[in-house]
Amino acid sequence: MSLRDFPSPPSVKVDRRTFLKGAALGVATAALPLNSANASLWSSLFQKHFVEMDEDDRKRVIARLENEARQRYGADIQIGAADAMPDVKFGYALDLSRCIGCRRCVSACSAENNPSRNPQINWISVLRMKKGEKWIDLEGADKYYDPLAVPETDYFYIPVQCQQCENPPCVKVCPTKATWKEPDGIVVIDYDWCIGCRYCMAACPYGARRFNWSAPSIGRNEINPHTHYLGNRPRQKGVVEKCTFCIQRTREGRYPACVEVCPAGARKFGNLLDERSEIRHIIEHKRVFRLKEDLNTVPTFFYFFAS
Amino acid sequence: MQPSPCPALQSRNVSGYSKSVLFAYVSGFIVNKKLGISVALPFLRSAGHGLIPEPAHTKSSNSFNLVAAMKRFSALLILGALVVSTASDLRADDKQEFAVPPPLISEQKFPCMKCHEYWPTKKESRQLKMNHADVALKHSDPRSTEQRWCLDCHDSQDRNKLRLLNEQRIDFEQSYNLCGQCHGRVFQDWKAGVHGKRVGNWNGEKLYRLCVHCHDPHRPAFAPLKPEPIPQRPGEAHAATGTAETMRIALDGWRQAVSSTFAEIQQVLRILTSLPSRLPGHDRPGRP
Repeated sequence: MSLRDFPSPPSVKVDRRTFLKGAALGVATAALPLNSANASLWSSLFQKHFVEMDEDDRKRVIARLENEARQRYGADIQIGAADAMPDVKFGYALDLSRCIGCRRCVSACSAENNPSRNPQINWISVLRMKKGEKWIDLEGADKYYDPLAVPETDYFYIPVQCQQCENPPCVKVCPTKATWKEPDGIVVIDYDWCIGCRYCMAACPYGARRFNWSAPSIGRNEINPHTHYLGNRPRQKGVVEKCTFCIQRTREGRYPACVEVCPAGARKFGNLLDERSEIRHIIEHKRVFRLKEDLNTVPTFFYFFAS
Repeated sequence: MQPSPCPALQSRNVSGYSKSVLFAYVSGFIVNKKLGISVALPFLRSAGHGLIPEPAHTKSSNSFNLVAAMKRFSALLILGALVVSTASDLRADDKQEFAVPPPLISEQKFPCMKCHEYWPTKKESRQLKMNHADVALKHSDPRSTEQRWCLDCHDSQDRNKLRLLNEQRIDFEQSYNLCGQCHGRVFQDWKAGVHGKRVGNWNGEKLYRLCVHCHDPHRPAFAPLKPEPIPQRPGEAHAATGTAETMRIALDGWRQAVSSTFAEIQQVLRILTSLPSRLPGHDRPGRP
């Protein structure tokens, strides 16, 4: 084909300045919050950090998020924003002599906290280790053990989740301060502030954090409608999530889902500042240790042997 | 009925405390009114703040003194309260009580005495063959030669109750005292809320269960559980539990079946190849 076969350019003469002005105007018009999708984009762009929000901001943000969840999942969810209770510091203890590695805590956590089902995200990892080995080798442990029945002889099981450290390395490295430690001890994430850089995942020595590589998919009847802004509300693609000690339950005085479901009664939870709580009894009367204590992360997740 | 036990406020301590106050007050009062008041004063100061009868410094008068009468009345009130608090603790077994759901006894079998009233009691340890033959007792150390039997825990005279080691009888609702005789450490843990499944509120009343709600007393060892499926890695289909193990067993069986089939085929071939020599006339030439 020769140049003659091509159609001639339009005869309208537009100089570069006019063109750019028109383009800028067009983009601005498109960005106007005229329909709801644009409105939520606009308001989410100018949303404040959770700790800077006042009551009205919180209400508006929660309304927007509940709306989005309704559109996306077809489910009516309630997002709470309860603050930490005064004089409360949560502690968790896990009895390694009772854990049988049945993974019911993993399923209960997924049922309660709305993680993505495909790809599957589990906040709790249950590691299987051989009895009689020299030391606890977390990196070499088997997470994908698959027997017909548990517990297996010669093996013991350690479930690992976020240790809610007192000196959390994840909080230190976050470039946007999207994750921080609340007064009741829970390390929380504002999913609308997280930029998904995954520095926190690199910093966490326990491998407790999970990333949403793709848009999370949850079935409508799998969604737990009782959520918390800093906890189990449905997340979006590109943010980090982790165990929050079921903040939506514990700030109402209830036990986390994993504690309630454990059939062996291996999990214990309570207020470290209450001398009569069972967590304090365990720390005072049992052989208690924490994982990777040499790293000085000071976890509030204790492991012990009741027998 | 005591609520969840608070280790700092054992009921026994409170009643013992009040008993000593009561004794001091009464004995002192009998000896001398003034002495009684002065002996009990330090205890009463802590127990009945503001209600302490003041020692009478002035001479007692015969006329009616309202204030003194009120003080005497309040002293009697404290006395009464102390008596009541000690009396409520004068139970036969003097053991802590826990709010537990009712034990798992079938309606048909309880109360047990409706049958056992008429059956004679045979105290020999044996395997039951008629009634209660479904109860397979397996509650002993497998390493020991001695085995438990029914009347170790069930009372022989009153079958509606359980029997402690000191022949004391307790209700089925208090069976934790029986289990706690041997499983003492676990009993201490259970009382503190550390042993057993925990549901409810961490900042509310602890919900207790009886031992028997989780452990079958006749067969306490737990059966192994089927674990939940392994965590799914991206791109993997949802696998059934025990897939690796099941596949290993299946492959073993397949391998065995194949090798046994081969062996059979070999045998058949041997027979077939030896057939011509078995036909009449081949192995013994000359014989018809």
